[in-house]
Amino acid sequence: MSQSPALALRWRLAWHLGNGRLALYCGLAIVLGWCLLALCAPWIAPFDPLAQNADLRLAAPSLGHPFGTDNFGRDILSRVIWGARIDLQMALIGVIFPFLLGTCIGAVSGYVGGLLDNICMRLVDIVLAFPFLVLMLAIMAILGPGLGSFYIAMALVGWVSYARLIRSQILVLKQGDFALAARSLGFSHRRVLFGHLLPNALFGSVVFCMSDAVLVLLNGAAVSYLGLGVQPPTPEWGTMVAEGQSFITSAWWICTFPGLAVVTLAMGFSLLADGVAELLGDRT
Amino acid sequence: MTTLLQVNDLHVQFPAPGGGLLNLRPRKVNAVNGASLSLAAGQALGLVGESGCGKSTLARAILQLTPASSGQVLFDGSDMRQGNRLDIERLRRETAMIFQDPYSALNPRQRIGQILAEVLQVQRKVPAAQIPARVAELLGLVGLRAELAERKPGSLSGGQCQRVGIARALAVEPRLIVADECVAALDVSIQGQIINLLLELRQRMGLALLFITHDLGVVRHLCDRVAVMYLGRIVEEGPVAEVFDDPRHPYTAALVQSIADIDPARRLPQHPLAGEPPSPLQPPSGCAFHPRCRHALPECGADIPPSHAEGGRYHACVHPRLPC
Amino acid sequence: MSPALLQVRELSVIARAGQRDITLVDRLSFDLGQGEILGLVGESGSGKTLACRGLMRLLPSPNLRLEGQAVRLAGNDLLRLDKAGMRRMRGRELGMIFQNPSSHLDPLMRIGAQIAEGIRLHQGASRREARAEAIEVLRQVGIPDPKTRVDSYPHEFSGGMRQRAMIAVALGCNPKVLIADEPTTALDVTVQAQILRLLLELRDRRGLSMILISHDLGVVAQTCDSIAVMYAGRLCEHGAKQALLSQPRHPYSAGLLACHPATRRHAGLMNTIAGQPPLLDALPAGCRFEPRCPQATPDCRAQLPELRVIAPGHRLACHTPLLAGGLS
Repeated sequence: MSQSPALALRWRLAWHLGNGRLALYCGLAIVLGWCLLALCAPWIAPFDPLAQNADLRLAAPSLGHPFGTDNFGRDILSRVIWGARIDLQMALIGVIFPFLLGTCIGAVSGYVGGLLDNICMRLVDIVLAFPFLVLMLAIMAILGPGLGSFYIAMALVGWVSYARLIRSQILVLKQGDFALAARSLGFSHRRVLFGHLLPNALFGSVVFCMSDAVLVLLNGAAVSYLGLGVQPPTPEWGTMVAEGQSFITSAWWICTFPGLAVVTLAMGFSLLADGVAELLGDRT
Repeated sequence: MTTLLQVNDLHVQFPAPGGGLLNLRPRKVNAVNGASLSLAAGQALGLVGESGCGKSTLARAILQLTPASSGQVLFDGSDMRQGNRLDIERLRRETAMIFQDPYSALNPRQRIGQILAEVLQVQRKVPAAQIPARVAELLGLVGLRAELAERKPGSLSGGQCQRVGIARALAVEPRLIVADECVAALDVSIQGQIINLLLELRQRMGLALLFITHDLGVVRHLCDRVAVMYLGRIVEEGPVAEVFDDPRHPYTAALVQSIADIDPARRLPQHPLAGEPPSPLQPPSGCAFHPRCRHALPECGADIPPSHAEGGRYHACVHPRLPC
Repeated sequence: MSPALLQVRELSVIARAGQRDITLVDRLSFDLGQGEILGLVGESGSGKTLACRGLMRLLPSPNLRLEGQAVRLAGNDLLRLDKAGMRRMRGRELGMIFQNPSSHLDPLMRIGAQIAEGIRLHQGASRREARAEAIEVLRQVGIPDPKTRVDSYPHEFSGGMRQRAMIAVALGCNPKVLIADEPTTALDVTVQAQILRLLLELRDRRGLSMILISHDLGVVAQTCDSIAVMYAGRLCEHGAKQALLSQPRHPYSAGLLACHPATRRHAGLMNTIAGQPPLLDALPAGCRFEPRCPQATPDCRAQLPELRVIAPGHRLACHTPLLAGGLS
């Protein structure tokens, strides 16, 4: 039955206020919690993350060192807290650049169409033809290890998903009545594309951003694990897992706690993505 | 009365699917196939036909929103198909369009006020300081309260959204409004309100109206003249009352007969028009209507029928008058 | 008229929205006789489609639930049947056709197979018998050359032919009652007349009873025996076509009639009903049409009018009915 949208909206709102917002709030709480920890690291972390203590090598979790210490005697809890700074930064910057690049290319490609669209989409196909991680590692191997090259590699490889998403949305929207209406009112192409079509096309990508942050985080950890990302002794979760690997049987805590940190943050982003999807879904 | 819009022998082609594996033999669909019509300033012309007959495409080609492949579109004397930028800009300033689906024609992320203000701003209709006042005035003109400017389309009813669409068209201060099935998606009780609004605005502002619809009942209320379209061609045109009372083309006659009257005594026609509109991909030879036509003669399948024009009426059929 | 074939008593469809219930169809009652065509008329959101989905116990969302006294058909109370029993009723006793045939036919299955599926299921026919029966049904719904068309896919049919094919699928199960939900809305006007003609012929030939849902009084006027007008989830008037169209007693029925575009032959302002239908989660306490009603009195605002019989076969829910002498 077709109802007035106003009514349908109210129904959905009522339903969401009941239970659907849970994902949003949980996700927000987890992500904000990690942000807060990262910001307050100098005051919260009980020890210097880089300070080594030869007497306390591979100490098991205790009251003094709740997460234990690693093979250099560094406090794992402090390293996890300081590591949040690097990992959050990686997730943020590693998502924003591909997002911006992909959105611009996808939007223009879908709107203009024709030859330009063909060129862009073949470029996407080429990038997609390589396994994601292999391509990233190749680029980083050329640029040299470090966070900077990680961001550049992320942008060069990650934009394709956003370009595809946005392009398909724009292709649908530009057939729609309100695009035609805007053109019939004498609006310029730039205004139609960036003022009217793009805001309506962004919904999917914004949600994808959140889930992509999880992927970027795991990628960053993987790259660091392979020794191409963040360099030791900087505290970063992926690197820490890599370092703890050789002690996995004797000192489980070295890998486990940074690993749990990655998992909780990733889960936070996932929940946030679900919540934002539902919230934005209501607005349209 | 001066002629505002004159369309001569307009053709619009679209590429069709099925041109072979590598598209070596590209196929074309003739969506509009030599349509001609004219509209005087302040006049309302109803363009009727079944879905897929090309009436919406014709409207878009007239407004230069879809490229035509040949023919002329004269707006106020100058040919828009020459692609002169100044001409197109003038066309945009003096024409506006109203759409079928009131929701999808409005950007769901903009507030009603923004939607109207943007038009005023882009077209520089009023100084920036007066935009809010003009927005309120436009809303008043279409019978909406000024508070609605703060709302988004999703929270309005279909009828209210259609009024916003009309207000947006009026913001342009057009001389010609093209309305594409603008009441088809509305409930009957709301349809009448929108038709009356258009009637009122026409009288008050001297607007010319090209009203595209499949509903002949609506045309009778709103329009001075009516043009009937079948498979890309205009098959009959003339003053509404004359065409309805004395249709000359058998297709028009069938349409008039199929108006769903509310007369309990009236039964369904015993033998309704058989068949269905043909696909524009495989148009019949000669008169496109001949496979369904009760009065078809052998020559109907061979040649495009001659057109008869007399006393402000036009029709394209071998029969100068319908045989009884 | 023979005793009613289908008896609907106080059927309600209720939606759960957060903490409260919204009544989308409110205590609908009517009878449908053998071979009768009932037109169910109303605007979008009036609950006409939902009511019929409720009859089939096929509500579109788990948030909706059905309440009611009884829905009696062929000696069964549909509301009391278990799931398997209800499945046996669907198709065999109650068939349904929809507005958009392209989305209600399986695009990957031949037309003949779709018809035969129901025949085999409900009549236990063999594959060959079912195919022969399918060809016969296709012939009955006016598909030319049914022997070859039985092996076509839906996309090979035009819009009107697909609607005929969908009717054939429903008829294959040989139902007693056919619910047609806006069967001609998606069709061109000239094809619409053909389909309506077909429905009338099927009634005459098979003695089929039908509920024809439509927003268009014109369509209903040409085909139905009786008309039920719904507004905001409630039945406001129900009577024989002749009586209801020539002398509507409910101001809403009269308004709908007056503002139909085909009603007046000449140019000029159209009649309208001011305002718009109420939101179903913010219904007026009294008569639901009261805010738009030219006849409204304080009584109408205070008290919901109940449906009562005002003449044999004519029921009305209004405190201030129009006079029987016609429109003033």
